[in-house]
Amino acid sequence: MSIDTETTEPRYRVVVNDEEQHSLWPLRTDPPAGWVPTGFVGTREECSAHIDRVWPDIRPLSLRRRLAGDAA
Amino acid sequence: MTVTDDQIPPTTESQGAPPVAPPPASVPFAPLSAAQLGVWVTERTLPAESAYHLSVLLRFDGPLDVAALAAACAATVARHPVLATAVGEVDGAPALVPAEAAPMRRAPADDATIETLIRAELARPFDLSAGPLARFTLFALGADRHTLLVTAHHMVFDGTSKEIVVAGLARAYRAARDDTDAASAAPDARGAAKAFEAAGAAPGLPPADGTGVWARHREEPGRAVLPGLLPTTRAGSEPAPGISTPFTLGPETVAALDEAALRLGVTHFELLLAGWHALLFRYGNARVRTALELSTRTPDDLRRVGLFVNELPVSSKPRADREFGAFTRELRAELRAIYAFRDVPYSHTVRGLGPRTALTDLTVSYRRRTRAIEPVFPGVEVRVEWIVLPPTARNTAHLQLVEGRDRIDGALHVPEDAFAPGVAARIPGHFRTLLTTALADPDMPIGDLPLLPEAELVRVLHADNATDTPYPARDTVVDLFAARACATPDAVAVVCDGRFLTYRQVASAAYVFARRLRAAGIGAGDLVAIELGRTGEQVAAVLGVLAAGAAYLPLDPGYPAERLAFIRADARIAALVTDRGERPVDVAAEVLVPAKPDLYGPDLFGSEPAPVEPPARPEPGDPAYVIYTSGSTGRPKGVEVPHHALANLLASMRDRLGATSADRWLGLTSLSFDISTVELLLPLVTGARVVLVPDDRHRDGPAQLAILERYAITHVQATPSGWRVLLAAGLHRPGLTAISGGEALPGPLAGELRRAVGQLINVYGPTETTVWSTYIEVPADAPPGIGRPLANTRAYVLDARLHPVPEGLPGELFLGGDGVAHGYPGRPGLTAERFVADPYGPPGARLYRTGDLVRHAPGGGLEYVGRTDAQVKLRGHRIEPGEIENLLAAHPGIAQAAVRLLGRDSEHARLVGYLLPEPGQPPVPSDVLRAHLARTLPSAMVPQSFLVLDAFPLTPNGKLDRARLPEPIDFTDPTDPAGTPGAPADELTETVRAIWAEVLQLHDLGVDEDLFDLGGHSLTITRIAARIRKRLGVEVPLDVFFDTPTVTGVTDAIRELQEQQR
Repeated sequence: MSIDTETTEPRYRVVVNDEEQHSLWPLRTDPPAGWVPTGFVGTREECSAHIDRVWPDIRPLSLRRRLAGDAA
Repeated sequence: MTVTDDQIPPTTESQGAPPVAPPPASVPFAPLSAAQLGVWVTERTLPAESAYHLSVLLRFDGPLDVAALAAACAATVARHPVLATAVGEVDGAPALVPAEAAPMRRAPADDATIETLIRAELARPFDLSAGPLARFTLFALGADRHTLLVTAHHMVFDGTSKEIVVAGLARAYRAARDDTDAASAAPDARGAAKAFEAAGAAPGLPPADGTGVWARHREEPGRAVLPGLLPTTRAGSEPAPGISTPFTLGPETVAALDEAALRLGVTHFELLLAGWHALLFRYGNARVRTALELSTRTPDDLRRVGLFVNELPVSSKPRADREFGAFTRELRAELRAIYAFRDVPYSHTVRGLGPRTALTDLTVSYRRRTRAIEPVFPGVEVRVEWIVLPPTARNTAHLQLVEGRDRIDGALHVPEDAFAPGVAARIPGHFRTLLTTALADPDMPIGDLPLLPEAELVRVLHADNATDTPYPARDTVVDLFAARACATPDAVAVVCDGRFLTYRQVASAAYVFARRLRAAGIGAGDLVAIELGRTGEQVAAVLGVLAAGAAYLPLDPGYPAERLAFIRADARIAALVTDRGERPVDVAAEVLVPAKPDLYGPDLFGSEPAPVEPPARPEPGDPAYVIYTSGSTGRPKGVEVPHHALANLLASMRDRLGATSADRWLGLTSLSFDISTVELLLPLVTGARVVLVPDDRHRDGPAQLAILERYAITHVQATPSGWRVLLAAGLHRPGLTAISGGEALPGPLAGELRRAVGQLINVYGPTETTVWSTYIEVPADAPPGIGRPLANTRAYVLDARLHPVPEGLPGELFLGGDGVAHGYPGRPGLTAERFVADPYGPPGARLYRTGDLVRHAPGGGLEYVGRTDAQVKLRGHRIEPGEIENLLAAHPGIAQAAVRLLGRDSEHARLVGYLLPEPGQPPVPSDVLRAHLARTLPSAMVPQSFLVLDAFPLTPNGKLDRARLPEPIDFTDPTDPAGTPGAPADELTETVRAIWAEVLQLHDLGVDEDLFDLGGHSLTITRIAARIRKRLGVEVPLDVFFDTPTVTGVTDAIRELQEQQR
């Protein structure tokens, strides 16, 4: 059952919280409460590049909503 | 291999000047075994004290027949005559010879004194040359309570011997009570002649390892890492006053061992050893090496008292993701490979092992009691304590385990002065906690096994982190400043260049400017760059940008143009505030407000103080500023900080400092360095005053001192580099509150500063968690830590898998709470990597991973250790440059020091020390510095070369710029001797060379060849020493052979000794 991970790079999943803040979490364990996997899994580099694409504005969701409302 | 010189008759060889008279030829003797010889050599070369005293305690309850017990002791010695021996000399080599047995000694004691008396009796030296090597002491606590202490020297004793002696005592006691002649029974069934050989194995040289199984042990694992272990000069395998922590693993652990052993096909011992290695790995030992005491008893020896153990090292290289069960099986295979050599003394296979009380600095002994039946002494209850450790520890840490039927007794023995008080005593708790999970779930990776018992877990995760402090998060800097401006409009807010600006003036200028920004369409969510010098206008611009609802981006006009251009282009600014009068060419698309806030413009307050509203009131979650940080690698990155984080910082600093409107702050730091928010904004939200230091005076100590005096400054915040500037100018202000941060505060500087000011605060924090996260008022004469978290801040010391690290060990600092920044705008991937999901805080919370190594300080709070990326490896040693730097700076001739590891690859890697001498002190020679460091550091951590600089290169924020420390142009190792020419052989050298050749049985032998390369070991050394004594009449101390293991070296020593004799 054990996969020899000696030579393979550690893998992560991309997780988000309620504020749509993104982070990386090791694949081997469940993320802490309040964090949900997005489904994307990869090496650190792959996850980082993925997040660069899908989360262009790093501000919390509530702030982005407020600023969008202000502008409207 | 056969050794012939042992057969030379003693009469011909022992004529010299022996320290002990040779026994008559008729007296039985036993040459020392290799193990005994190792012990004996160590006793003669090191202050072993009681390190080799082995003991067992019998506590009797009931009417003990003391006379019968005394008879039993005598009978036991008679049965095992090796207990009544001494070390004599036969045939020029040490040997066990008969000595007079000591009768059981009786001593009075009471409950208050018994433990002290036992310790004293344990410590009482054995006279090896007079013997006997065992003694029995009975302490009478009352008519019905007695304690018998059996103490024997390791020369003739081991763990199994304890079992044999205790069983023998019980048997002889019963016989004495029954008055049968068994009490005075003759030596054991093998007969008197053979009995004496019980001393140990046959003499001579067992075959050396030809298979290279030890090759993998050659790589030294470096210093052991254990919680609370202090830096020391002592080698890890030398004796020192010890302290032991006993512990017990109960029936549930033994049951779990049974189950796991069955499931994995391994033994209890293998599981326990794997647990210990896994724990050592988790402590931070990348390679684990523990020496084991392996039994060398043959079936014939099972009932014999003596030294039947051989210490051999077992190494492992655990990995965090390896399952515990799989690791145990790997360790089992390693053990099986070593068992093949259990009779081969390690010193015969590895060259140059110096005298030592333990083979390695970490050792383990395990014994499963074969007859786990307690001895029966009729008429009395007896409780046996099998683990009784002497007052002298043999090495850095010795784990002793004795497994009984349904429990395992253990003890950890460590040098008392090697650890921070009380910390080593927690190690058994970690071992027990780790084993509990590892045995129940062997599929769990080693890196995830819990280590910390509940109490310690609560301490490290929660004790210092209970920082919840209500603060009005809705009150942003904008609100707080507006309130102060209304309350005391005519109080002085800012002093700059001799101008005194009131709150009214600053607020008016700020709000006028804010309206201009609003009119230009700038508001919440926008970023305004402020590229102004340190002036009142700059302060008004900051407040104005915030009062417009926008966030500010500081650009220090003194920074390199290239860096400013990069940041302007990177930051997506909505406006740029500059007094240069022209738009920089690279700011093409942005709205430009080239305004100089007019402090003498319209006074919004009018003649009467009335509420004047800032044009916008930012929300707590709105960005307040973006500040660019260098980062250790690559291009600068912006950090976006929201208002509530800034408000929390200011409220917390206000409360901790007890800041009031009477305070006068020095505005010293560049706006580009986030610590400036404290010195500019904290005074302005508390009604106090900030006195700005003009830009051209930032490195001018005397000018700053003049400002301190002229404006009666009460609070100054600076980096340690900044404090050095002030101290060098003669700072002495007993009323001053000094705040130091931004760099590690070295102990000597803290002490100097502490004496020059009234109060010294050390603060720590990365930009990513809003300026400061931890705080401590530095006590007098104590090394400065970084203290405890500020309000609404949580600090965790975690390992690479985000598990909490035990107290006393370094781990990476993770920070959570209200100070956590939004992240790096425009760098989502980097933000996601550095700001991680918080496993210990509220749901959805984030932690910033600082890259800083800290540890829990013994008295609470945190100590800064260094950077995770600064830690370097040099020849297997993990080296923290900061540790070396602190020691260098502690030298009275050195003001400041830095250390870098240079060299592309490990072979050419070297440490270079950079020095700033103390002004007015003569330069300190390199060898003096090296000696200074060598007192507390292992040699691998002593820099090979030093470079004296006039000044250290600094970053724009006034921190040391390590990357710009120059590389020495020509590097030669000054420790490399210039080569010793082969000296012509004289008569004395020739005699010594001949003795070596005889003993080593080599014809061809160079005078500079290393004894250990030639296959020498402790037996060879004693033989060489005996022949030197006989032929030359000189007693060469054995440590000479370890210090200078060549014919030349030993000859030189002989020459010196001969001269002393004249």
